[in-house]
Amino acid sequence: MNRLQSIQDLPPLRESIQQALAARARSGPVIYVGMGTCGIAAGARETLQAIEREIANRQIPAQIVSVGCIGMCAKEPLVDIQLNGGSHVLYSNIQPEMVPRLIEEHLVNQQPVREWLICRMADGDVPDDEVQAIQNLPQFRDLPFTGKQVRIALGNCGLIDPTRIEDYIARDGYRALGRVLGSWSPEEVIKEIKESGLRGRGGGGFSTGTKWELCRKSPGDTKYVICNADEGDPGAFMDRSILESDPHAVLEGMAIAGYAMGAREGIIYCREEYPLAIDRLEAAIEQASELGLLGDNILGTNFNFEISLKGGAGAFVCGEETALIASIEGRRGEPRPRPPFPAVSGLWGKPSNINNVKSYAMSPRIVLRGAAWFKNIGSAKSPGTAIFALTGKVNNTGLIEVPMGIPLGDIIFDVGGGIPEGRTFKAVQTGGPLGGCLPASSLNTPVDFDSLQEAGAVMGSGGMIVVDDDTCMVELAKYFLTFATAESCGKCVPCRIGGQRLLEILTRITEGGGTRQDLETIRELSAHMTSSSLCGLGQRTAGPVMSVLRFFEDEVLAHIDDQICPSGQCKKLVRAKCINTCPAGVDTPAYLALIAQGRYAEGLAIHRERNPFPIICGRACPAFCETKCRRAELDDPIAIRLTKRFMAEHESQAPWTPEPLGSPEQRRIASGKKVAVIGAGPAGLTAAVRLAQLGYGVTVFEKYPMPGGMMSWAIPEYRMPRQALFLEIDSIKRGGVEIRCNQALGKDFTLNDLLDTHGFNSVVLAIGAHTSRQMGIPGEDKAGVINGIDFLREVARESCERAFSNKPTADIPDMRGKRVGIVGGGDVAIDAARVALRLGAKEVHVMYRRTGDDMPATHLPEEIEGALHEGVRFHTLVNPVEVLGNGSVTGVRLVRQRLADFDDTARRKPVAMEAESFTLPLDFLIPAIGQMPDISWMKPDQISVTRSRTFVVNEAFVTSRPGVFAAGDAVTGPATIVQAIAQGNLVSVAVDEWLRTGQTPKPRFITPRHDIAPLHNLDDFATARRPAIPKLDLALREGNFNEVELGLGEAAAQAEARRCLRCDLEWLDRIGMPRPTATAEPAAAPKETP
Amino acid sequence: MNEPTPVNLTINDQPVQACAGQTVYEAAAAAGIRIPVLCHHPRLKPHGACRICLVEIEKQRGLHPSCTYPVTEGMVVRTDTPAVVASRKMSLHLIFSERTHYCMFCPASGTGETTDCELQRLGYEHGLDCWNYAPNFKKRWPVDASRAYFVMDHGRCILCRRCVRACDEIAANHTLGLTNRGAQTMICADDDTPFGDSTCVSCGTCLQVCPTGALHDRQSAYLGHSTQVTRTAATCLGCAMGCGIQAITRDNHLLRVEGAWDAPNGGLLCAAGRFEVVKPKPERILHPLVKRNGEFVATSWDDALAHVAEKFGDARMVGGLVSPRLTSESLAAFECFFHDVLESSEVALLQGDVPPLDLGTMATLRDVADPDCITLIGGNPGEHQKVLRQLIHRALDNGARLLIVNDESTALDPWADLYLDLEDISFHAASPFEKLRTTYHLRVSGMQQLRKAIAPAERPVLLYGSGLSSTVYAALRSLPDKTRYLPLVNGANAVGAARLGLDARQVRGDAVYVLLGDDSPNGHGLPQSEFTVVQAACRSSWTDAADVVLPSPTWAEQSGHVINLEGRRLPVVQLLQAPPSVQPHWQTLVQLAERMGQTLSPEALTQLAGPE
Repeated sequence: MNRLQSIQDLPPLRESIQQALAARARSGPVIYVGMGTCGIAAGARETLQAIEREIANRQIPAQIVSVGCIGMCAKEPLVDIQLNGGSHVLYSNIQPEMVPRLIEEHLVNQQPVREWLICRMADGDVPDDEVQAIQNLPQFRDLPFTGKQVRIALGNCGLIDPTRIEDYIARDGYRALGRVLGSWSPEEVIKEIKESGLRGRGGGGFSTGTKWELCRKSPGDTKYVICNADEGDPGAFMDRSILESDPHAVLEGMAIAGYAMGAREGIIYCREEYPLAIDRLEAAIEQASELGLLGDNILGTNFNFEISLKGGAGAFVCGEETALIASIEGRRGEPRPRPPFPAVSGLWGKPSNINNVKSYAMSPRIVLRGAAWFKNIGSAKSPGTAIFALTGKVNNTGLIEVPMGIPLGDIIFDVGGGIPEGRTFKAVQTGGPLGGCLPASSLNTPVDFDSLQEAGAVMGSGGMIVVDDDTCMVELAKYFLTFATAESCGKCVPCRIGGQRLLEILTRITEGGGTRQDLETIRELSAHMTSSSLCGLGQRTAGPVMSVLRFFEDEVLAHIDDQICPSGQCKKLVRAKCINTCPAGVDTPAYLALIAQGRYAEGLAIHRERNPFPIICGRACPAFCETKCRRAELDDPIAIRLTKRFMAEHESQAPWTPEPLGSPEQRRIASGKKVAVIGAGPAGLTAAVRLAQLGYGVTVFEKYPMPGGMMSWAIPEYRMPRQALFLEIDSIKRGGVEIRCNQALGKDFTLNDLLDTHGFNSVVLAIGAHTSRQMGIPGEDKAGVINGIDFLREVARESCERAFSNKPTADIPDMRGKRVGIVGGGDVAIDAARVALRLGAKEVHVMYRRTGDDMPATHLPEEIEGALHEGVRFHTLVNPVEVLGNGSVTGVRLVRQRLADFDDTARRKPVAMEAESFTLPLDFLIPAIGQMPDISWMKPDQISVTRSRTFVVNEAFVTSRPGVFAAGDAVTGPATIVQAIAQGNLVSVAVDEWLRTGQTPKPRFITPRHDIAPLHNLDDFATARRPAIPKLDLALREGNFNEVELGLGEAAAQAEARRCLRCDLEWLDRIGMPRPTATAEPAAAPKETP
Repeated sequence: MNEPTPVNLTINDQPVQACAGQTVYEAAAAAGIRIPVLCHHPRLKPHGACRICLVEIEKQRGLHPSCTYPVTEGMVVRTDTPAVVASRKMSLHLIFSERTHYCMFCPASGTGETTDCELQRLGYEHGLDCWNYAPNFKKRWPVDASRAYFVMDHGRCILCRRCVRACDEIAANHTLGLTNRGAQTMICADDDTPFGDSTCVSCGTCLQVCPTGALHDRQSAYLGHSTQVTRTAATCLGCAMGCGIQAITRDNHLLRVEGAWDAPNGGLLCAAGRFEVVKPKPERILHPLVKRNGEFVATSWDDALAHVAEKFGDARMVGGLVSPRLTSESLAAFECFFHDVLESSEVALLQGDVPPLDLGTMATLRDVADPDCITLIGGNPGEHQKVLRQLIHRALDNGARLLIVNDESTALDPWADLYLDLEDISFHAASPFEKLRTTYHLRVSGMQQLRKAIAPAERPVLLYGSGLSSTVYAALRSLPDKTRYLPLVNGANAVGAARLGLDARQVRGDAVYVLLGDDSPNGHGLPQSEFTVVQAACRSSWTDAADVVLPSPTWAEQSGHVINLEGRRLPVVQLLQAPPSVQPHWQTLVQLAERMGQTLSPEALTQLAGPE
């Protein structure tokens, strides 16, 4: 091409290129391959070569175009095919071995491979044959990933060949430059940019127009336009993609800026780690210079502007403008205090303007389409779009451009497609390593400069890292801090030393050596670094740490107080993830190892040290341990619950008598003291047995005729046969615990009676949460409306009584042939549904106001699966608004729900769509929308309770009344058995401490560690698979309460136990302790039973 | 220079007037408001790293370093708010936590206002009486003791970079730098080589600016803190530069020498001036010695002088040699003794060269600090005037051009913009063929090149050596008037000696009197004669070969004056008391004259040395 002699030469050139491109498309198939760094990393080069080979072999006259990155990193390599000027269709994940079929079917047979296609990129000019085959294919802009995006700076990325200036010119490239040179004064350019409200996309958010103006007004003949392409955030690649995919946009933006400021020289400071970006920039500069779009007398005007490249060595701090200038000048890349600002004294002491790649790339578009257009996008104070590199635990990782002001949650859950592998959202880090982590409660925050800052994070240059519940926030803060301190230049004291001290403290916390004082120190250091550091790096180094302290203080405290890493990531704190995850902290690897060796009694003893209900938990535990089992990374998690159930049942012939705990001296003090436990559920019974083991005289008062709490009164018999249940409750009694049933608090006795009259030294309230929440809708009082928990209790009463006396007595509603509706998505709802089916209901409908994925019962996936399997029908996104019927229920009117903004659990809140209501005919309606403790026995304000009527306790489980402790569901709200057991363990320690010393420190329930040497070679079980859970045949479940889940046999249980990877032994290596040897004495000797 | 614009601001409610271009720190200091600093040093460019001097500035978010922040009209500054003080204390805590600050084992440690260690002083001032952050005692910080004169203890380094900046900005040697970054940052020499193997010239400027005990010299460390020493302004007698020094003495010992900041050397000294002078001397001569039967016998002044007087009286001709490092007063007395008492003209300097001093307007050393063109003709400032070499480097850093006309290579050659041989300029004017040559383009005149190169300069300085041909000196006289000339004189008081008519040459005589002072006659041969008197402070091969040895005060034990290469008369200040049996030179000469039946009046001798 010839040098352009004037501005008027540009439009004819553009038209001729556009015609040539259209002609190319018509002349044969065109194959576009995404060749950004991300694509190449995913194998695009190999795919490209395979395509070249294939079309050469078949002699197809196809043209291959390398384009940049379209942003769908998770789907690379991307291949876009256009046949005969028709529609572009986009294929994802095209590996070399897929190429022959792709070419065969799409190019030869003209039949696109439907299953590999993801969208139609653009409609063709000519109608053609292929349209039939791709008829229902979504448009690119309608994909969830792109639906909410507005692509300005990324407008050309992935669509043009970045190595050809023609492609850029064809898409209005350099038109903006032509326009300003032709008819705008520099002041007009600045005015337009100012009016557009463009704020610095490097993260500072300073008005770009104002910055240009300052530089223009600064006296001096020599000025510099500098482009900051020193993108160094871990996980961020916005600038790189633009430079690689659309380099001319940056050059054009810089030339416009140069014209506006009166600069003749531009410098792009690009890190050397971006070789492809540098190659493409060099080529682009050369092409633009050849065409007369850079250099002297640009487009025939008297404007001269040259751009050169300066490679950076990759120091993160060189993104700071004064450090960047120092680096260009050849000095050590360190910032200097401002003022003077670079606009006054920058590169070589001359006025200089530094903007980020994205700011320059947006400028030509603003000039072309006008400030008003730009201002209309985004939010009032932050117009335009924000570009993010979306990474981490999110389905659609990639490069996105969204309008400013979009809620954070929309980016993660709509554009990003949510959290993969069924994990839950925990936090999102914005602003790169110097930003902040925002929790679920911030998901409605509009994403713009000011709102993010207000929320506790920063906009930054555009890194966005999503983390799920498997991420330890302390570890995450430490990770970012490690980065920031390693990248500190070392010049100023607060950053260099403060960062190091912070890192040491955080490291100590992740290793279990933290103290509460450390939190104060962290805050003090962070405040100091923020106020007193020289540059932005130091001032924001503490950002992630501060946000973690602000939003995740509990998690930090768990590390400090309990030496527990709740998410199981801190290597020195986590012996094994299964132990770490278990609320009761049961030593799973130890008993699995013993099961593998057939030493069941020893295994059971270890289990009972922390959980006295192995049989019950073998059946009804949600098995949090299995969700974190590391074996799942290999194949499937160990079937821990079933293996445990086998162990417990195998030994059920040898009844357990709880053994004494504590020293003789402790027991001597305890022996004279009495503790009353109210409620014989898992929390109460655990607390009772622990206190009895410690030597206290313990009496349990139970309102219902049978002990067991929710274990007896809520869990249906098909999940938990009552014989097994009572077997374990008998063990508690053998420990010396007296259980008095039919003793209702408030009716048969009062707290004062216990403490003042009956001589109890302390009371533990473990009354559970047995009162149903009300729906609060008309008709709730109609006959046929039964609260879920009441319904289950009636059914359970029958099974309990049958277990004792073999005669069914209870008052169970007759549901045979009836239609039953259940409202809710929790355990009680699912249990009620399956019970209703067993009672002979014709139809069972579960109505839930959110989506199925949001159901609380998802922690028991087998239950939902089982319900579906048995024929329960689920209606999601509906909510009852009225119970219909005269006197008794005939149906329920439901209103469809839509999901609006996010709540604190990262789930979208359902909002009624009043217009869309419908009726479901029903005979029974069972609301199961949650339970609360029954506090009707209590005088108002006798003991402080929360709005959910749970007891307010301190960290030592002490209620507002001294001597009265509370634990279990009565404190936590409805939870699981194992969580209640954990509470029982802890409250027993708290009560013991208080009774012996009068102190109430945060209790820790400590048991010995058991290191069991493996006797088998783990390699022999490398390919062993988890057994399928044996289940009762569907036909055999109908109309009865026979147990659905069948246990494992001895051989299967032993084989399964041997699959355990023994993380606990690796932990010994990590902390430098010797592994147990196979010849060592058994760690836990079998317990004698008297 | 324009008159600086006055700027009015308020510091701690006190109205302060400053000049545009000043920093807040400077304005405060001028108004008597003290803002503590650590990385800042008045002789170095502001750096803003230590964050000790942070202040609050109204309408500016956060805290700002007063040492870099320029004053603006109407600015309101507070240096003592709780936030400022808290930040300052925190930064101090952090600095103390970073490395191994075992103050009690540090030579810079002291108490109160007068401690050598600025960090420790700030610590006391801010009540840092406990460790807030676990100090890094676990990590071992290296000690670099590879240099002969001083030691770098990284454990005490606070990375203020004063040393690095002094090496760049004052010494212009660019040896020191930084390696690694963040908490791993270390001061290093060159490309992280041991200091002793580096391009370091041991000027010791880094040592002088170090605010802690990280850099300390081997000789004086542990010999006394600031509270226990006496500081005296004096003149270095190492070479003709006559550098201003601060001599640090205690109990009649010279502990340390620092460069005087306000003298033309601006704090700079060379290794000899800073370190060699405090090195232990060879065996001191404390009593007159007379050789009897080949053995020296210690004797009294009376006895020794009587012996010398007798021998001098017998001699036909007495030759005299005198060190150019003695004061003008001593030189004059010696010269006068020979002239008046011995009636001998065979008196000369031991060594020392003074080139012609009448080439044009003489330069001062301050001119050398700020020239835009330096011309070096036939000399090597790196050999005898090492401080001058650093000044040249500094000028080159500031953009001055360097022109060299020389036959010998010097370390400055790589920086030369123009390099000519002496021959290239020695044809000028003096050569009858000059016109012919230029006319026929046989050869471009070197002088023409040189003149062309100097022409654009506004403040050219020309340094020239001794012993050049008269044609060269003649050529130099013809350079433009704006040129300032600085002779490269060898010998601390060689100019003073020249004014007394003394120069270095061979002397004859059947008796010789050598006044050595504390010089070591390395390399020179003692003139052969029948009777030799050597008056020296220390034992050397010459004293061993002498017939009579007389004690002499050292440079630090005498007072008087010297004249340096720029012709400035500099005071020589007595820093130490001489041992009881050592007397001033003039006294010996007066006594000797007396014994020889002549009278020399001390007052007359002093006047001979030149006007006050």
